[in-house]
Amino acid sequence: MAERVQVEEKVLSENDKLAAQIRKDLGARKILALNLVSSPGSGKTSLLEKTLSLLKDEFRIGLIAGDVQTENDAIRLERAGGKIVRPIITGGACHLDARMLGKALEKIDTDSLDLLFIENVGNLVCPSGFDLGEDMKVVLISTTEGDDKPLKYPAMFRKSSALVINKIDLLGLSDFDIDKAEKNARQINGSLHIMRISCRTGDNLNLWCDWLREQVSRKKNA
Amino acid sequence: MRVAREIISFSQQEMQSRNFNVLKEIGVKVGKLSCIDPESLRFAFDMLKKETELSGTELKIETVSIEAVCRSCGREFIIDEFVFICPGCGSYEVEVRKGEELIITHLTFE
Ligand SMILES: Nc1nc2c(ncn2[C@@H]2O[C@H](COP(=O)(O)OP(=O)(O)O)[C@@H](O)[C@H]2O)c(=O)[nH]1
Ligand SMILES: [Mg+2]
Ligand SMILES: [Zn+2]
Repeated sequence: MAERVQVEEKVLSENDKLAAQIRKDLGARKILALNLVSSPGSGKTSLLEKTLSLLKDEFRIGLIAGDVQTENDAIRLERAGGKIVRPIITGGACHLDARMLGKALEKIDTDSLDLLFIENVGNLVCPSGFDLGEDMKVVLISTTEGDDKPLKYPAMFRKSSALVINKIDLLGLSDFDIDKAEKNARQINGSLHIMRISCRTGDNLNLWCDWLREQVSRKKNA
Repeated sequence: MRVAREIISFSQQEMQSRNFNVLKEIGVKVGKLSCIDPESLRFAFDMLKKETELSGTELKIETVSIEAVCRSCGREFIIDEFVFICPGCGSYEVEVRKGEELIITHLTFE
């Protein structure tokens, strides 16, 4: 005889619980935590390198670099002046989860931080389902990708607070229409804060830094 | 993959704690904004279940449309093409009510 049992169990409830704990811990220390997501190669590590060189004397910055296989990004970030850098090798998983982040944070003295960057694994699908306890997700695309990226990965753009469009030094070299990319992104998420930058030339990185300053001070005064 | 694994391990635990030997069906709700593709989920589930006591279990996937409400004019509407703009007043202040879920709804044991 068949018996049907209603359960209503959220599939990733375990992850959500851990993420909530991390959010609480970081919140108590007033650390702004940003989860950077993009396809591989959009420029997450480059943006963090630039951020370190511009802001490392202003804020105490911690960096977590997620990667499927290597510690290369973590090494790049240390070279760029990152004092508190932890790699997370996911061993095949295409996203970070709250358990991995929690473990990495155990190795960091979080009392000494203002700002925590989490470079997620290069992927726009899976990371959107896994809350890490961050304050915000920042999604990056670059002008060497399609301007329809937001339409292909709506969940990620919907869940992000800011969009960084990188590599504007290469505008005009491809069919990428930056206004169309913005329009596509706004159609998914009208409250996205959008910044157009180049990590190569440094163009508009002041906008990024100003935005970070604003978010850090909001968090401190929250 | 990860999601399929979570579904299987949750179901195995439930099966054990409720003292059943056969699980006929697992019901899941997958929102269109959950970032889970039902086809891939089924593929992963069918692959992973083979080595478990769930090898005969069916995964019943119900997809959930994106339902939204406009914060400006209160209009309720369904979002088909990922346009999060109110069709009534054109506002971008749109709140998603349904479509993000990823839930195991029921287990049918035998
Ligand atoms: N032309 C150009 N290249 C860039 C820019 N930012 C990053 N890159 C290059 O893009 C490649 C991928 O960047 P990386 O930061 O490793 O991307 P990630 O995979 O998102 O971390 C590297 O070769 C960078 O040098 C930019 O603004 N302009
Ligand atoms: Mg990188
Ligand atoms: Zn409206």
